Amino acid sequence: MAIEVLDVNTLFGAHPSQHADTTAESLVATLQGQGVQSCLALSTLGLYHNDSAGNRETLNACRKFAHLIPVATLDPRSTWTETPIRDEFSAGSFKMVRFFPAEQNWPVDFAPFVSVVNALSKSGRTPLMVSVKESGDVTKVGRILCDYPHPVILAGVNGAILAEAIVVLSERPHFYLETHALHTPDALSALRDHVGINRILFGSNAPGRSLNAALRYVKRSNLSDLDKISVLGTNAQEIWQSGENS
Amino acid sequence: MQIFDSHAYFTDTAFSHGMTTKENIIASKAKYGIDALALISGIAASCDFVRGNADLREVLDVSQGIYGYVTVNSDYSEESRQQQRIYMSRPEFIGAALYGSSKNPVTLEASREILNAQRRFTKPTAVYVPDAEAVRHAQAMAAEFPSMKFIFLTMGGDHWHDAVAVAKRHLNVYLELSGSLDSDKIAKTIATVTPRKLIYGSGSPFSDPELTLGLVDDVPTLTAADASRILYHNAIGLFNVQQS
Repeated sequence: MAIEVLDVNTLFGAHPSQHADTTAESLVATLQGQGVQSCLALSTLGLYHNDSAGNRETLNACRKFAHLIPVATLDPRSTWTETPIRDEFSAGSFKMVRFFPAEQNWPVDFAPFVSVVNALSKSGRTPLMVSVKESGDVTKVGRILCDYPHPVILAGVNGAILAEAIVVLSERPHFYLETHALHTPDALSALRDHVGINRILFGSNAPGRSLNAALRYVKRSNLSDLDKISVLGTNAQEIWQSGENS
Repeated sequence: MQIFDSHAYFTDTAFSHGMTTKENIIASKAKYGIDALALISGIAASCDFVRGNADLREVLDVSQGIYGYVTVNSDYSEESRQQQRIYMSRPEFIGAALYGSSKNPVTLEASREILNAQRRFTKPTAVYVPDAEAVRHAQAMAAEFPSMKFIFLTMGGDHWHDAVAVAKRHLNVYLELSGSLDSDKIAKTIATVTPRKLIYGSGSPFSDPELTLGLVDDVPTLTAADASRILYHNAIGLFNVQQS
């Protein structure tokens, strides 16, 4: 079964703790080694140091490697007004914006975050990915982004907060879920049954996390072949090729 | 290649129901190609170790490769030692699993009497070490009881570097590889300690065995012989059980 795989969650660059080689070059080599055609990618510089500098690094890497699709990040502790956000996204280079509340140590229910997403909803047609970690995070994201006019993807949903994610996805048709933290054996079939297979997007968090393990989790799940194809690529392609994201 | 899953649970979960009866444990083994496994009772680990051990005994079956750990709880020292006396000599129980209050890591101080009692059974003690603090406490146990073998379940989670450093320092520490799915975890571990100290475990049904199998499969520097050791033979030797 040949499947065109699009990985919606990859990071490249240095980490503040000991980590695998996570350069853009190693990310591309990892993708090619596992037969993944493309991925949405982000520089860790934007996550750990400075969003604007990281976004420039992301664009540079994506110009160099055709496999990488640029993703921006915004840190609401430093960027919350409309003008810099409009400037950052005026060229339409980025295909998604990511937020990392836990990693950057700010709460999901955070006024500058609300301000940023309000600005994004006016200025661009940009899907968002928000990392969640603990009980209550998904509920808060669901409330804050209930009227966001474009897709919202939850990253980091694990077995402990899967029920919460299912409830929120059931109530928010523009919400999606990325798979890298799903470890429970039957989580994918539960999601298929409760929210629909088209709401699940393959993500690995590679190259820091094992791409092979993430792929194997989906490919050897009890989903049908058609559903696996949807999760591994088609669902994401429909989001980013639907024309709403310039 | 044969597989011994040294870290699985006899329990039900909200989304996975494949480890709740002997029949579906056998089916789950077949699905993942697992030859033998060592179970911890989910009830024992979370709230009632006496009831959990009794329930677990009912599903263990050496002829099917279904082994178990006797769960002991550091908050209940006398009751734990009684559980050791009841079960630890039985061939289907291949080690102790040491737990405490779910909110705090198990400490040497709280578990000293239990560990003392465990010495005479010459079976390994598994300690759940999901983070750096738990690794430090488990290291203190390994240092005080050098003649006993300790298994660090989930090898420190995201703090696996700490667990590897402890395993390098203490000959009696073995690392069970579920937990973090960092792509370099196994390669760096076997570059630091002998592959004989690493044993395969899944954390099933909380975690899909395919994930950790994928992690092992993802190491280009791992020889077939070392993969076989990690997936099966290290556990066979550590638990002193017959090959299936």
